[in-house]
Amino acid sequence: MAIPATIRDDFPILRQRVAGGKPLVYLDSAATSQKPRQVIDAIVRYYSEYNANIHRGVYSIAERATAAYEEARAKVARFIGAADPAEVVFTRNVTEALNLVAHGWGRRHVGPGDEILTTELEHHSDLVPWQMLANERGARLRHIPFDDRGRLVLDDLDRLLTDRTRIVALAHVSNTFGTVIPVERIAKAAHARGAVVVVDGAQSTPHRPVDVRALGIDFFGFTGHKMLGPMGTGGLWGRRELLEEMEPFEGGGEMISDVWLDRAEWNAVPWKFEAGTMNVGDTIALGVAVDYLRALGMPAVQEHERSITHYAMAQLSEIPGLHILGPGVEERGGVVAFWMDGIHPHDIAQVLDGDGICVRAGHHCAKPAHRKLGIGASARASFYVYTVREEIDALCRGLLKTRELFRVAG
Amino acid sequence: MSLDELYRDVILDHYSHPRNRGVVRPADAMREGANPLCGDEIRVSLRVCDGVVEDVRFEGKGCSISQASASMMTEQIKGKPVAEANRLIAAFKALMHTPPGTEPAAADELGDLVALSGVGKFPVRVKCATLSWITLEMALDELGCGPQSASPRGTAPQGRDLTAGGRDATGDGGSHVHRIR
Repeated sequence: MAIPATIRDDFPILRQRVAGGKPLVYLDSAATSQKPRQVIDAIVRYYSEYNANIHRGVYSIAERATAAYEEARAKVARFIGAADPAEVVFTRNVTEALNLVAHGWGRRHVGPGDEILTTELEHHSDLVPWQMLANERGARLRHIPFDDRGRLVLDDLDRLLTDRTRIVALAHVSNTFGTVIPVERIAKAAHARGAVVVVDGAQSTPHRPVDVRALGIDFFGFTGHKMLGPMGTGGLWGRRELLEEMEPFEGGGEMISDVWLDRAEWNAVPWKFEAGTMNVGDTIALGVAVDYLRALGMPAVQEHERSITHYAMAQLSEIPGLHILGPGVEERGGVVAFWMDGIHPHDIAQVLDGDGICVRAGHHCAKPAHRKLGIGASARASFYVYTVREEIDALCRGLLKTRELFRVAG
Repeated sequence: MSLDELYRDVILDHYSHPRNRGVVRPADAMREGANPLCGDEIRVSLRVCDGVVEDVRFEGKGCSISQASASMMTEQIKGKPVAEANRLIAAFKALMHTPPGTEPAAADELGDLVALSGVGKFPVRVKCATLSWITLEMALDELGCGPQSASPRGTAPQGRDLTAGGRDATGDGGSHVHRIR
């Protein structure tokens, strides 16, 4: 089953004209995806029909809100292959999910001299929480290197993993190179050393079928706004026995089963991690985004992106002086970062914006990776279900125009 | 907003042919500035003699706006009395916040720099244009002759001269890096 040709009709934002009448060419879905009207309508419906606080009201709209919120949890659980909805904790985003693991599991199990293994290509959200944890606990950080095509070098994995390794944290798909990381293989090696495996699924969950159990991992974070859902939504999947033994991240209402003036007992998972009023309306809409993706079929989503990425890489390669970062199309998701001789990525993005084309310029929150490559920044085009070939053509025309403007010879 | 207003010829010329690129040796002051949002980095070094900016140079990496702004800045500041340099810093910052269509104040003094007036219409890029100026300001402050200083001294404070004694100019920038938020 292919992505229907009419899919763009579902995305109101894509209908508008910008930059003096040009169609909006949105090529920054790795930063955030656009939202279909079904998701937007779900938010409007929630606030128009049944906005109420959940898990406490006995009246009907509160019951409806509670049921819809918990149904969203079940949808997400099914979508990522979780055994039980209770293994899915809702958070603001993947960053909060990873911080939850660092606090709840890390502070309890990581001690002085222990090691946390991550990779050189991580997004800052999968580096900084571990740095903070390592600093606090006197642990050591180690990193799996990447090669000149943005692929992890696993030759020394057996030496990087030691009996002191407590946590292995890695992206499922790199947000800079687009590299699909061989999570299963690394997880297997990590488990042999007794470490827990934490996966940042921000760039995989929206774009390919994910089965957390098949990956053989312990924790998996995802973010809702990159997968057609609203901003401020996301979550953490964790194996139930790990979630059970974890300490809560925040204290407050709803995360308790009983409270005295001087102490409290925690609620069951996942609610012990969801203190205070959650982002109910947006989380319900995240469930609708999951419905939308399931209706498309994740294999179709993946195939569409593979095809667009293949086309984009072929077209971009034709532009003189343009250098694509990362691996070949078979090992990559729908992300193409590049740089151009003599033109800074900011200027590329600025000129493209003049034609209504949105790309990211900068270090994409992966500064260490850019530093290793010896470049301060890159430009990045990233794709999703609504991306069409005409948009890649517009990008290429814009890049040729940029070369002209900057009078780059060659 | 037209791109021509942003990418004036003089800007593209300074970007492809930067003036005063490098490090002043020996320098009285050197500072590094960075824009963490986009990874732009700049190092400004200068020598002040008898209250005059005898030499000023920059190096670093960044977009056309940040590099052209730094290049034009060094051209305008070099050979000027410190007091005038401070006035230019203030005038340039004001230029960046001049509403579109308004005649910038101190246009004569700014010279070629007026070409950067279009940047003000692209709020994200203002930080690119001001990075070198804020870094220069810090370098002057380090010498005790910035806009906040009571009286110009024209000598480097103890232990702040990063290039003294032939020390490698690229060393130890970390603690002096100003990050624009």
